[in-house]
Amino acid sequence: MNAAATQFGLRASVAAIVGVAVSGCDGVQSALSFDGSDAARITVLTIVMVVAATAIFLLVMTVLAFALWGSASARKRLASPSVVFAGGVVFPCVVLSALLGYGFAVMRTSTHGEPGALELSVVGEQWWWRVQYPDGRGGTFETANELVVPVGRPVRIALTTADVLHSFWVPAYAGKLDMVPGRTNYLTLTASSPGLVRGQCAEYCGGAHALMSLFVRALPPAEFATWREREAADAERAETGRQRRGATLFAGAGCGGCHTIRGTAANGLIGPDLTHLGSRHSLAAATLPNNAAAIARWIAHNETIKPGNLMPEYRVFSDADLHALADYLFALK
Amino acid sequence: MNYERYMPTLRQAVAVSSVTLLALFLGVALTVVVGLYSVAASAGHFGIVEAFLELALARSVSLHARAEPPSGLAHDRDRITLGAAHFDGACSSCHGAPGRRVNPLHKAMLPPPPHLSASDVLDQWQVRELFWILKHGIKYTGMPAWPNLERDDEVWTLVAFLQNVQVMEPAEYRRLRLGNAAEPSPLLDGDPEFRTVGAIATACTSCHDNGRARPPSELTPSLAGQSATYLADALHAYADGTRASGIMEPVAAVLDDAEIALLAEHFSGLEPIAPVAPRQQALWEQGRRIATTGLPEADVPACLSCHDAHALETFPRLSGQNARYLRTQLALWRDGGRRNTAAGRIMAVIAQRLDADASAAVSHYFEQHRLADPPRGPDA
Repeated sequence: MNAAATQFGLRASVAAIVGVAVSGCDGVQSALSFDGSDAARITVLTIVMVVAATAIFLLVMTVLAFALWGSASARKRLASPSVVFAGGVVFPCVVLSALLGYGFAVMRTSTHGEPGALELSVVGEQWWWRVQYPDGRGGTFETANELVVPVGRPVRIALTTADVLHSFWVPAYAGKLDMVPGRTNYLTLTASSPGLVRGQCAEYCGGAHALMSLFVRALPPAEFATWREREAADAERAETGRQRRGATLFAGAGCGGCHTIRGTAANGLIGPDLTHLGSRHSLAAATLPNNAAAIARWIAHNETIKPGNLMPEYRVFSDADLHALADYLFALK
Repeated sequence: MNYERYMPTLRQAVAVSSVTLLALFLGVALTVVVGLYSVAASAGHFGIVEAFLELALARSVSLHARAEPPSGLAHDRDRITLGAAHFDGACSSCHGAPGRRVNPLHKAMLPPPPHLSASDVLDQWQVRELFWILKHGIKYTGMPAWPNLERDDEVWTLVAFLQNVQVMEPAEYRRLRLGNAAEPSPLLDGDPEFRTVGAIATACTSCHDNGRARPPSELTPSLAGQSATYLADALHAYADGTRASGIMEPVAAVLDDAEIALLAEHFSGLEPIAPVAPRQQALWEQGRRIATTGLPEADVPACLSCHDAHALETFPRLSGQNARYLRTQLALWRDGGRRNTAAGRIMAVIAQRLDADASAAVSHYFEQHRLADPPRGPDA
């Protein structure tokens, strides 16, 4: 291969790699399009780290160039013990200590919380999120796989896990924190504008780890209060004939042994709460869109959607019955 | 002595060997192709062939039989009872029984099936070897393998019976093989529709319950008052082999759809048997906890969420069911079986999370459990 072709090949590869990498910089799960004061602080920290690292990298490359191609006297000076000690021990210690201190200062607010924060709890399960909210009247209610937060108010999340290590990560609001068995970690985030962003589990937790994500909706305070009121209330009653048939099937098939629909006899705690399933943005921890057909598909074929998940496949229903059940669940808004 | 001149050269040795082998091969081939060799069962084997086959049988079974029998096998009344009933239907025609002869049809087979209780053929086999023969059958004979190789537990019931058959009185055998079929089932007297399956339903009660008495063996499930949909589904699954049972598959395969529907309706309409009183308080208490609240820490829902009076008709009622039967089924799921039907696959996920202790507890609980409301009949 001649020199020109090699050069072209190199440039094309670099362009391709950079292009692919940068394509992840947009969208609901972007770590670069931040929102919220914590995210802003952490983004500044990120930029400082990147700039410092780049500068150090260029310095080291320059020294390396001198070491390879410099004059004999330059090389001799570089090899002297004082230069090695200053550049190899003193410089890293000082710089890294400074960066470490700066990092701690940034993270301190995130873990210790702020006054007036909304206190939530998120429990990592294999492979979904159990979310508990205060209902504004002294009690709590449970939902799953989706977070709704008020704009402008700090939200302090208590992170625990029911089984193995998970990690809660919503890139747009910054902060990624592990959920460790036997321990409660706290993360504070604040949304500064309304919108929908996506997060996911960032610590390998078993086969379906890649399919354990969540959406976070930020609502203005008044809308948030309305949402919370609705979410804390019991489930809507089935209206149409098909929905009533679905409700009967739900009880008959024993779904209430694992799932809860508040306001009915279903009070199982093993699987996600379904009281307001129809109002969520997605299903199965952001694996499926939320519609009746997807619900039906999950009930009968969840092993093909999320292999290894803990729910059995229910293929004991006729087509009509399965769709009645899905209609009932989708109508739980 | 100079022996070298008597030794053949290599070329000579090869030539003579090849010609001899070729001649032998052609001789045998010609005999078979022309048809000179007689395959008549009536003619019997040459003595030397017979001895060779018997030696091969004894040695092969001895080497391959490795399974150890469960403890207390020879005195297990439930296993002996179930084994006797199955033996009567599946084996006695060829092998005779206490007080009954081998059917002359089968005496003319080669090798002829031995009369197991009147001869001492059983003495030559160890228990593990009997298990192997029953499970795998014997080549070049009419002895079939167990219809489904997943059910070792069923094969042991027949081994338990065989361990007792040589000393069994004909009256005792007759009692065991008839079970509850000594009297016909209650529903047969009234409804003309049910009378068409009368003989079959009575035969079922040699192993199962008949609306008045419990099943003779605790390994057999009670059918009285069970969901008709579940019973029909089970018979269909046995008939096409999706549910494994060497005992039930042959029974169900000869039934047509109409007979299955009538039988399911018949047994569903019988009064459920009265549950037994709880015997072990601690075990019952553990079973009650799992049945009513589940084991959330092991992702096990409450059994009654799917198995109560208001459940889908596809799911069976468990109340009053024999604990030994329930334990066997839960063990089948734990061992990877019962996964070929839609309902079986649901329970497989749950049963995998119940260990042997939890299975024993819930089985014991349901044996004495009575549903709050009676199960609905097929036209409710």
